[in-house]
Amino acid sequence: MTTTQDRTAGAITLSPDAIAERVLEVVRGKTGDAEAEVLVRTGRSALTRFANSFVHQNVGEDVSSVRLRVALDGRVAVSELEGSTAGEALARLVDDALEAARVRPVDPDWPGLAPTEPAPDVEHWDEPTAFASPTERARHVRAFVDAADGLATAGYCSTDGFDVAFANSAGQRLGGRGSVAIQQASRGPRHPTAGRGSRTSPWRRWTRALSVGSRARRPARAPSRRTSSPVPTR
Amino acid sequence: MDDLASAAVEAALNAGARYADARAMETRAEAIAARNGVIESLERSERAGIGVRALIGSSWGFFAVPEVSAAAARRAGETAAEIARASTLVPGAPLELAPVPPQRGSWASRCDEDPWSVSVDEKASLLEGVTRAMQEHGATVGIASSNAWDTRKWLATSEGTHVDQHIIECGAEMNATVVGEDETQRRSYPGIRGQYGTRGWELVRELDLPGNAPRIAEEARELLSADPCPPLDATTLILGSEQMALQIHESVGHAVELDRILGWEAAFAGTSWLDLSQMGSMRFGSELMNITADATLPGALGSFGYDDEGTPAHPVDIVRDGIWVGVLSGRDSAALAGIPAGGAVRGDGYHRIPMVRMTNVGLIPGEDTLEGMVEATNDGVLMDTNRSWSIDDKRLNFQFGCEIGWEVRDGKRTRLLKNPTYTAISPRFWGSMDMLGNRDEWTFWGTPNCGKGQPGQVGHTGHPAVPARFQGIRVGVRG
Repeated sequence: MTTTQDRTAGAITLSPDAIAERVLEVVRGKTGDAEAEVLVRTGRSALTRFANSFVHQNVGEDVSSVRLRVALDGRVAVSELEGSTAGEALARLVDDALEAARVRPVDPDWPGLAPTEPAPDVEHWDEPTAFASPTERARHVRAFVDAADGLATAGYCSTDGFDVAFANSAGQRLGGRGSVAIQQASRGPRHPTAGRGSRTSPWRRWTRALSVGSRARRPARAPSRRTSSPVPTR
Repeated sequence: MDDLASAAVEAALNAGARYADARAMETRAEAIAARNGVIESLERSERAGIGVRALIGSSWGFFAVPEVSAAAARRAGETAAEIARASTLVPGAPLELAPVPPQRGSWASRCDEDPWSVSVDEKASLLEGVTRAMQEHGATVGIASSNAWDTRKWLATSEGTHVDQHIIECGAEMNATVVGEDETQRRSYPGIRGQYGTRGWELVRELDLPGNAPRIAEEARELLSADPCPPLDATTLILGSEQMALQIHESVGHAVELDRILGWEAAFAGTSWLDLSQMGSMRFGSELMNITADATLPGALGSFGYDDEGTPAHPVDIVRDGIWVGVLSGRDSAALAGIPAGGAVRGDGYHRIPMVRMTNVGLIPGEDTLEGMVEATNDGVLMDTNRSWSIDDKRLNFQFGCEIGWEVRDGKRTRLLKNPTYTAISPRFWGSMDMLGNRDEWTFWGTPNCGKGQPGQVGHTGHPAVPARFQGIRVGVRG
């Protein structure tokens, strides 16, 4: 499995599955009675936003989140951590979950943890999407704006690439990685919502995104159709 | 942490930015919810990292890292500059940021009782108890919750600003729902979104949830047998301050966000019916209408020492004597509009780009009282506590529903009304305001869930409000 370190040039040292194992260790160290499951997500998320036919917000972030669910004799609670997993962060994550569980009522419907079951890693991964650069996103916006032929345009395109690891104290281990690209854009003679289109797919299948623009333009130009005319989303 | 923010700024400048700012932030949050006598959820979260903005030409780039280390800070600064350079492929108009002198200082919100010093057991006991009390007084479902946030942030800019802030926010809410044969009715306290402020747990104690739980449960049950609010094309409408807070938020606060006016939110949140060329001359409401955006109000949810660009908190006139005179702005939007920086830019965490957000947008009180308005009304409807809202994307045409209403005849509340609603066009509505509550009824309502931006951001905004009376309003609308 690709680690976050691979993708972010040394940003985070632990892979998601290693973080999940460490959280389970901390739980075991604090109480042997707790059932625990951990979901870790790391990766990069980016979104290029445009309005009035220029890029006005262009953002990206490295993502690292840990979600812990514990059950103490059927008393279930959750705590979350976004950011560094170094130092005492994981210990506080565990303490918060255990403290919360102690004041929760017993959940009569708590089914217990998922048992160990062989399962393949999920792979919804497209390399160009996961590693798309801000320049690539801006070029797509540039092409859309140019295709608008002077109409006002607004919208965004985004790319995400992420690794996910799941581990529980019953021994179940799951992993996967995925990538998503979305373009949502609209244009119009005075108001850019006069024509609207959107598309969601892996990046490499997304190079036809400009066709969304040409479809969005038609209702905007038609004098009898001044209102929104959605284009089917994929 | 200031060193890390400074390192991020320096890295962005070295990578070609002509301006950069960075926020290093640590945030923790706690949310507890109870339902019918048991704790339904108790979640705690922590978030820490650094977010950097870089400006190249007129184009911005923003990048955030979930780490607080020098290496991560430098990487964030370099990547923000790389993103800004990409943005120059689709540039906007030439931009010079509205000037703000470099700031140095610290600011902290007042907190008499740290929410994290109050035991989870005590908080849980309070919420469980009030939900049980609501059930005992007729509620089918009683729900109560509390939230607390603790935010520390350090801002450094390439112009020499270095400020740090510690903001604690806290509050609570509860509601009672009753189920009738063909309907449900609900009463909330102190409002549909509760009450929140830049304060500690003392705010929750002051709300006195236990003292109000029986009342709202009984009111909810009374509503089941109340008459529905009749449809009236033009009547006198009196609104309580909780409903006025959302009325201000939706029809004034969002309408005067300069990014919406400039079209930057066209593809998502919407635009505004306001035209900048009319600022300073256009009548927004009656002469009683005075609205300010004031981030200096002690304890209000939209208060801070500096916004996320380092602009010191200060009051901004939005509507004066009924004339639209100001907007909510940041340094870039203000520059494009040719006005001073408004100090209204904030980001929801280190990982979100700061954008124009409401501070404490609210009414300056008048001279009247709620009971005085009732006594002065021959024929009308009084409504309070928001239940639903709908407003177009230019923030002009709206419809609101409230939890409770009363018919007003000959200066008295004569009968309870359920499902009260009203609709209006913003400048006509505000132009009809003829009575306004006084300073004794001035409440700094807090809205902890204002959504905006892509990726989505949740803003915490304040809305000082008083009861008010309006003339010629259509009420009892359906559908």
